[in-house]
Amino acid sequence: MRARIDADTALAVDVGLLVIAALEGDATLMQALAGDRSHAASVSTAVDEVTESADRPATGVFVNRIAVQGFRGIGSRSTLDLAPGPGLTLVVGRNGSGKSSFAEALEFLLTGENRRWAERSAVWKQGWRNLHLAEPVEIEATFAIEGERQPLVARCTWPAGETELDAASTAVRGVRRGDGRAAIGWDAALSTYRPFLPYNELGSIADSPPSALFDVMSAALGIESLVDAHKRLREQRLAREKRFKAVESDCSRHRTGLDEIDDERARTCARAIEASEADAWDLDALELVVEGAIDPEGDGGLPLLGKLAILPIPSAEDVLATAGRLQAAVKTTRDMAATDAGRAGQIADLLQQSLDLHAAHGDQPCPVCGDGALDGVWRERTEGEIKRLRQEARAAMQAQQVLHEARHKARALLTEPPPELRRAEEVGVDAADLTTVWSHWTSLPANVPDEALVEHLRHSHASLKDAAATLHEQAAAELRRREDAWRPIARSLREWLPDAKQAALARRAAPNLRKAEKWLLDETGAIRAERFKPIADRARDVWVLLRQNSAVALDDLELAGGSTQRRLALGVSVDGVAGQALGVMSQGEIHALALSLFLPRVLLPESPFGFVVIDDPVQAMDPGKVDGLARVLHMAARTRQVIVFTHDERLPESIRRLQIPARVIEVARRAQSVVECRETRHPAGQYLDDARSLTLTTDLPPAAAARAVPLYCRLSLEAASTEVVRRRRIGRGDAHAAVEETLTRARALLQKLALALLDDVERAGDVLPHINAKWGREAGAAVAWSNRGSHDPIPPAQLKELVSRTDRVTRSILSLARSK
Amino acid sequence: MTPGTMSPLRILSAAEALIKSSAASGAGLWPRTAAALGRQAIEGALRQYWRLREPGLERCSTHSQLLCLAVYFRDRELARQTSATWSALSRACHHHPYELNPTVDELRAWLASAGTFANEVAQQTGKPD
Repeated sequence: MRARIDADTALAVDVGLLVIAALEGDATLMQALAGDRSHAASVSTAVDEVTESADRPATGVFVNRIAVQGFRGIGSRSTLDLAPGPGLTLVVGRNGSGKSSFAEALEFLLTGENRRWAERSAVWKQGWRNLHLAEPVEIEATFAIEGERQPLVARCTWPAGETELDAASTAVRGVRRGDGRAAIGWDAALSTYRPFLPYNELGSIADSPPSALFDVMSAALGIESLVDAHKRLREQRLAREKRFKAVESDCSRHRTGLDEIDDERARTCARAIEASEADAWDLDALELVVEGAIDPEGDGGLPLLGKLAILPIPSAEDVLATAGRLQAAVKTTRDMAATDAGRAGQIADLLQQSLDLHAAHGDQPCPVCGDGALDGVWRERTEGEIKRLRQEARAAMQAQQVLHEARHKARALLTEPPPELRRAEEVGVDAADLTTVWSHWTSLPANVPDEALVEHLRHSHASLKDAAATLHEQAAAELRRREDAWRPIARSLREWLPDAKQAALARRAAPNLRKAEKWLLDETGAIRAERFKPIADRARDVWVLLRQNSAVALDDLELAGGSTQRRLALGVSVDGVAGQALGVMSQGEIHALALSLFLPRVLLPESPFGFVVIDDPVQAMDPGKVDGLARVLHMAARTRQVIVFTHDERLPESIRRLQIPARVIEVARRAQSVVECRETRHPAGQYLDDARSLTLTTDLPPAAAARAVPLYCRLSLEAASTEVVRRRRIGRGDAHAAVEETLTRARALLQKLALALLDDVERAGDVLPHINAKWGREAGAAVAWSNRGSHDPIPPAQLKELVSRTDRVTRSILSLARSK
Repeated sequence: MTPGTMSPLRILSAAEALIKSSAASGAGLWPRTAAALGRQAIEGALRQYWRLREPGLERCSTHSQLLCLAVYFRDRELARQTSATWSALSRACHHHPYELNPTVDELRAWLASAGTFANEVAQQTGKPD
């Protein structure tokens, strides 16, 4: 899979990483979705193996024997001996002979169920116990496993008197030990390759939904891991989309809520989530507003209301103090009203000049008045006078200064109202009263006497204060109203935010998930088609053999679609005209089709099961198709141990006629459910029948008899040897392919016999002495004759005798394998 | 000429012609007739073969002849195939209850197989038609 991801240059890296993570499992996918890319480097081999698993050769499992007691139609213990290794075995018997009980027992033992009963009524299910009670009820099967010297023995038993089918307890012994059906260890393979093909399951194909057929066929392709990964991606995407949908629907609820209130926070929030495309949402901005971390737009109503609620007016203390100071200044000034500060200063200056004159020129008459004299006494008096005058002037000036400042301060209190007051109407606050009062406050003419100013300050401030208090209250009430409307929606938004943020973040992965899904689906389809092709080809081959007289041709077989659209597409044509498979087919043809579909799955080389059990395939089949079925079974038996249960005489008849090598075991049921299995035909026996038939041919030219009869005797000995070798070697775990290889290389009869009798292909030379010693010289002579024929014509009576001797040798060889 | 005196290959031509002329018309006995002709062709070729290779065998049962063919015949696979074709043709030309006539395609395949055998015999016996 990794190679396919790397090879696809059109696949975005992030998408490829998601595919890999999904193949790894849920945990890795979650990590990858959280942005962790570490899995990219350490892809487990499981991911890479996905594409190669189909090529892995599997371990061969063959059935040695099935023993049943007290189950279904079988009373006292009865054993069905099977030849492990490839080959065809027909188990025939009349309806009710108990033959199918073996098939059902084996299926139940391995799978814990039986498809034949799965959908039947309780009465049917309760019939699992044989009426002629044999205790304990028990099913036991022995399997030969490639690579294991010991067989695997699986046994399931029921406590005495138990009536519940499910109460069985299973024990595994031999190569493995364990309790419970799981200890057998084939559960996964059994569901994938299902080596059981019972009649009613074959018939159910017509009633199965196309997706079920798809699943059954698909299961054998080893691509579940891909399907699972696809499912994982899809689930992740759907969960994210679903979660986001919930967030989106909450969002539209919030939008409505936000539109209903007049609050700029609401408006800012509404703007943050107004986009229908969630990617355009500004959830960060929303969060800042909801958490109160930022003011919404600066000149909005809320700050204005905030300012109005505490709109400042000149403080009462200030105003009163200023008024007091002004009044005091006025009084001080008035008290100094007599003083002319300027004149006092000038006189002081004049007197100073006269002092200067006196200091320069001494005593002299007063140059100003002419009467007085400037002398020492004058001088002393004048110096004091100057000092007094200058003090007087300074005090007067100071008082003026103080008054001026006090007046200025008082005027300064008569300020214009803050600009917010003019905008109070915007936020629904009535400012008329305060505006009027305030305009009265500021509108005092500039030239009013100071006393009037003092009076204004003292009397007008009280109404200013009252009006302001009313305004404050109004603004505060409005603020509270808005806060009450906002708080619930803010709380709801605050709760929604984390969800919304996470969901929005999570949804960001959705497009990549979708791409990964699509890519994986396409790849899975390609791999599925690739792996299904051999099955489809084989199915067509099987159908060609089976169809015989049918006008229906199977043109096209395809696993189409995926996920919910998946189906097994069966394209057929009737005499060249395309049609719908199941619509144009008879019941018999549907059975044949089902066999065509299911058999290739069983024959897949990667299946660990060397055996396949087919129960009653001939029912409902056109007589003409039985020959086809025989050929199909023959084909399957080249690589599989094919065990066919049938009550229909036509199949053994057809196999005989077509000279298909097969064992036939007849099952007969006597009173008290005593079921007996008897081998009535064996490939070795078939050849001997041919040999015998030749010896009985009237007028057969002696030369022809001398050539042909030993050939069939030899084929018989070889068939017996082959079975012995397979039973022994496969039974002890030799690789199936190696056993077949050994048998193919042992071309000569004596080599095959050396394998069968001495387990050593090199000891061909010891074979005849061995047989002579073991079964007598006549046996050895028959083998030698079978091997080389004879150049001289042999009298018919002697010919028959040689065939009989060969028959005995053949039976002796076969008994070697079975006695064990 | 009766089928008994006709060469196997000519019998097969007749069977082919029968299929060609009758297949379009549908109903009738022609499928079984064609099968019977195919079988006669195989049996005729067998007799032709034995007269040269093992005189006397041509008088034995066809089953025995086919069993011996596997021993004598150069092409073992062809011998086996011929044996299967003969039994299929034998089955088709007898009436079996509930059985349908063989299809045209099946008949053609069997006749082709019979033709391969008859040709091989003609070459081995140096008696081309």
